[in-house]
Amino acid sequence: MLMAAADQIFGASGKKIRPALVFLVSHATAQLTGLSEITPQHRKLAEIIEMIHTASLIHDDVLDDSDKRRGKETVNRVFGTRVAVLAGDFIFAQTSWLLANLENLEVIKLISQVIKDFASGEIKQTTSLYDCDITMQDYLRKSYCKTASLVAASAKGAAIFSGTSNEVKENMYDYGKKLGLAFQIVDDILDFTRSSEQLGKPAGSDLRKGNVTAPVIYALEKQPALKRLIQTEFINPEDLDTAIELVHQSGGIERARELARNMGDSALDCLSCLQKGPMRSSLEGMVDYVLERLH
Amino acid sequence: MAAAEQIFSAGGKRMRPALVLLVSRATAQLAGLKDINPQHRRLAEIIEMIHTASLIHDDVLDESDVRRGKETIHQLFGTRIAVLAGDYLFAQSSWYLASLENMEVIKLISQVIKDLANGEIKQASSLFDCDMTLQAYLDKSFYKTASLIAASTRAAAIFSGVSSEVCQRMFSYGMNLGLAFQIVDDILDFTQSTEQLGKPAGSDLAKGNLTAPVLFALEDDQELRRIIDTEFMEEGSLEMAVKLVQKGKGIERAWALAKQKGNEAKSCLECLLPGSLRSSLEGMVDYVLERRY
Repeated sequence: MLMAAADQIFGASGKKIRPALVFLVSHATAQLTGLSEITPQHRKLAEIIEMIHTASLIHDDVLDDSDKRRGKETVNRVFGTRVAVLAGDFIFAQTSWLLANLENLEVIKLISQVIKDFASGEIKQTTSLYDCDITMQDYLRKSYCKTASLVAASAKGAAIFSGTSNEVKENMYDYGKKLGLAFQIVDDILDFTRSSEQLGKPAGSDLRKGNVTAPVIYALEKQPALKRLIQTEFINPEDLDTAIELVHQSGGIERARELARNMGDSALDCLSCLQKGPMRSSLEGMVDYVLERLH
Repeated sequence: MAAAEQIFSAGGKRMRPALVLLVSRATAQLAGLKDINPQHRRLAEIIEMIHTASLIHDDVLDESDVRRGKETIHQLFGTRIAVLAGDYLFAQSSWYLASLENMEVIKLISQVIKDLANGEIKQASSLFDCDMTLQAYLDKSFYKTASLIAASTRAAAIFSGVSSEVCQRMFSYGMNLGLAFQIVDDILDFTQSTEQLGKPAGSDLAKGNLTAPVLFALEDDQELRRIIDTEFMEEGSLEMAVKLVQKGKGIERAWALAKQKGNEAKSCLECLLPGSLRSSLEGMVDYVLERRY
């Protein structure tokens, strides 16, 4: 049954951005340190990162009681909560073990911090649902924990396995972090601007659950009426639609787009330590790809 | 935080950290160390965290099994917090483990976390399976219970810097102690009254989890097999099955197996210096075998 669950989630069309990023940074930093090609550790790191990401999605879907993921039904919907929790635990455990066997203390500590951040971020989110006093700072911290931390650690991990200088490692970390934050902000915007079919899950779902994201935080500054709707947890059937409309009207989405673009530009700056060439261009392209999802 | 306080302040026996500290002291003594070190203490904390995290998730797994269809808000809230709390504790322990900066111990304990998940899966996939062998039961018990204990006692020895032979003995001690502990646990599920257990006797059996007493009893009892195959569809069949196990030789043979493991555990202690620490570790075996609750 666990294999069937694995097929359900791994077989669905995930974008595999994270492992792609690991490969790109691996190649780019290997180039910098004069390695002729990337190492087995680089490849293993990419697998581990995707496994961690997937395991966290499985547990997230249990926590959110979600029906759909990547266009298919979630593991918890098809197989039940029990199998979903077990599957997530099993994958996390496997990554723990694979990670340990890479025998690099720096990377082990780096990734362990990520898993801690995941749990932390999830808790932060759960305890601040429907909370209209959340600041942009809080939101960015939460987005870091939930999304950017993994991306940052995977980019830095790739640099570590290439044996680069500390400066390059930190630049790769920052690149990953800013890319991850941009990605999350865009994701949060799309929750308002896209239809159900395009998203692979219902639109406005963050807001419905009380998850207050960038567009909403900006909107709350201009639309006091929005606050009441959120705090009453959309008690009337038409409240959610009204709230979504208010967010659109307030210009919150446009301001969030700007935030994402700034984040993306900041990420690009971090790449200047890399040699000019196709690898670096691809990493720049990653930023464009993330931001282009807005259109 | 409230959830954490709830679980950590509840009356756990804290057997595992106690064991880590005892083995730490005993092996430190062997290595001529004046005292146990911070890694020893941190290890004890980590082990208890991992154990607690696994209990929290186990409860989620059990609850979900009982209910079908849409859960109530209360139950859903309970499940969410449980999954989250378990994940957080696992993550914390992972991080503390990495911070100990000992590659051998990191690999050892990572194996345990893998084993815990594996054990749950093995158990889930062999429910109501009367053809399950005793070896399969012991493997499952190792993954679910003994692995953590064995790794913790071995890790304690590693942090004392004793020889690899002693480290291996400490692993075996922990493993056999853990197996004995699990077997006794499984026996008690049949021998204790409802009041003592706080839940009806035979709860393992009810879920289809076939343990040592049942496996032994099945060797002679065709009626028991028949009832288990029905997965207790018929009313009163569970009670009947429990009675059959209690009346047969299953429990007796399970005790014998537990004692055998206990003796093997004790024999692993011979490499330690005779004294109060070694006696305490022997006493742990007795404690496990003499448990009535």
